Amino acid sequence: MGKKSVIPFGPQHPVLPEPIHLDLVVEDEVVEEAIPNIGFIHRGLEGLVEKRDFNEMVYVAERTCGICSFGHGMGYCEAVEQIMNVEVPERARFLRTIWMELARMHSHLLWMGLTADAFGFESLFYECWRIREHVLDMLEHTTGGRLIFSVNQVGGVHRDLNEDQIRYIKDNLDKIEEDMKNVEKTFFGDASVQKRTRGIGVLTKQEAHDLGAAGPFARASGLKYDMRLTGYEAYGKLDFEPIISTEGDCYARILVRTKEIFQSIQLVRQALDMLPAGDLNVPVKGMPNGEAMVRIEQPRGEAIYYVHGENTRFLNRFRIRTPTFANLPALCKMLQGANYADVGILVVSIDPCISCTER
Amino acid sequence: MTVINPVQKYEDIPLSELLVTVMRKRQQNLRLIQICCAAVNNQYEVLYSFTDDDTYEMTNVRVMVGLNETIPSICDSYPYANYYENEMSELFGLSIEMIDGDYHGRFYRINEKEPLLNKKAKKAKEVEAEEIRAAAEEAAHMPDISETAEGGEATPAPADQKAAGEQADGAGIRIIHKKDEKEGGGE
Repeated sequence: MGKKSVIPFGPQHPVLPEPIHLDLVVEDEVVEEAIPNIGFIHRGLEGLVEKRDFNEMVYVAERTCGICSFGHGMGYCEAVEQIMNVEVPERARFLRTIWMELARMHSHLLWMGLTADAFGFESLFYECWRIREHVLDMLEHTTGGRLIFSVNQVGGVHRDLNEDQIRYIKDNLDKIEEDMKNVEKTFFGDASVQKRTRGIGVLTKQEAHDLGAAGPFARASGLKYDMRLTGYEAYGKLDFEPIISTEGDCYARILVRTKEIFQSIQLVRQALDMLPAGDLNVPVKGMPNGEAMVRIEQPRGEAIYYVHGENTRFLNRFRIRTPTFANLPALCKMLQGANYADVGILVVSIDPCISCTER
Repeated sequence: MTVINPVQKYEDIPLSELLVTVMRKRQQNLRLIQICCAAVNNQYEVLYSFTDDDTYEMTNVRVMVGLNETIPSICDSYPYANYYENEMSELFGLSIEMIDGDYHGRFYRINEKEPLLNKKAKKAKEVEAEEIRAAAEEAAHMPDISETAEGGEATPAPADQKAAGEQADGAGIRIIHKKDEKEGGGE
């Protein structure tokens, strides 16, 4: 039996895009226990509800994170719309769905690049990020912003898509689909990728359930849990099935997210074909009074938005439960028994978003 | 594709039933998806949300807690609740006992104490804590009944002191002044 030692991992580490600290109790290079420590970039955004009225809070919610920005704005708007009984126009619902799926694509491509970087496959990393640029170009072309595009408002959206933009998106989707097929071949056919991901960090379906895992991380363990199935926005009118895998290892997580990019392409195409004519938003009257809890499927998993208003223009409480926060316990469980050399790839495999987590 | 349209339910329960209710949710194989805290009408409103993996039905269990009350941890039923509990404890100052994996105020690296508790609730919490402290001090200094029975004048019980303080000078008047300040201050 070797000597136990505690190795600090993070907050600054080559595989970590954002600061999280783990105290790893290690014996013979095998992790026995992992104790997470967050809180390096806590900003207290939720506390701003006392200083910004419910319309201005949309912009605060969007700035929770640069990657999941659109989803945060949409989740917040949905929650406020629910307590104010606002019926959002059908066209706005479809537009939100289109932008949400584009955001999911760029988030997953970012993650795939980071994962390739984590196991040292630099050219794959560049390729994933090159494809991601096409998605960001689409977002810029249609909204004016690449990451934080502030198109949501309580009652609908600010911007519309014209025929040229719709054609531009469809052309780009074809290109992305073609490029993704090449990347997919490398991810699933390359021996070095398989070696670094197969059988690493296995999380069973039962463990994923018991530890409250969410998103593609949970779906890679066989949990068929996708909030889009609840039919919010225009998802109820689109045809799709959640993508799941049963292996529960790092390879399965790559598989699920890669397939979800193809799924998002299909969803955007469907939504563009079905895009109804009509208004973009409706006027909102009165003040929010009551409480609502809304769940949406962010790229990293289920996000929960809770708002509580007392008939004033300032909400009493706004709370975001982010998917990474839900995935922390499962990450710690997954790290138990892992090789120290695999810790980097395991941490990246949950797609941690610390900005969201600490808000 | 089947659109599920899940049901959302709210259950208001007293604090004494919290652990039993949470245990029942665990037995029903529900998943804890979040715990949320808010200061509402000078009370903490703690919301525990559970969901069913198949039907997506969500149950929110609501508990109202006094600003200086302590609630039990639910880590026995849901071990991963400790992250939520540490968060509530640090950001709102909610007192939670027996957290399995208590970070003792070091979960978030923040300089301000209870940063998300609004000013009104913070003030009310301080006043209430002062009252509790004063009442405890008075109870500690109260002479033993056996001593007063020998011939001295018995010191009134705290409740009587409070009543007496409303009419004339007395030990209880200090608490009443605090209350007056709170009511008249318009905070």
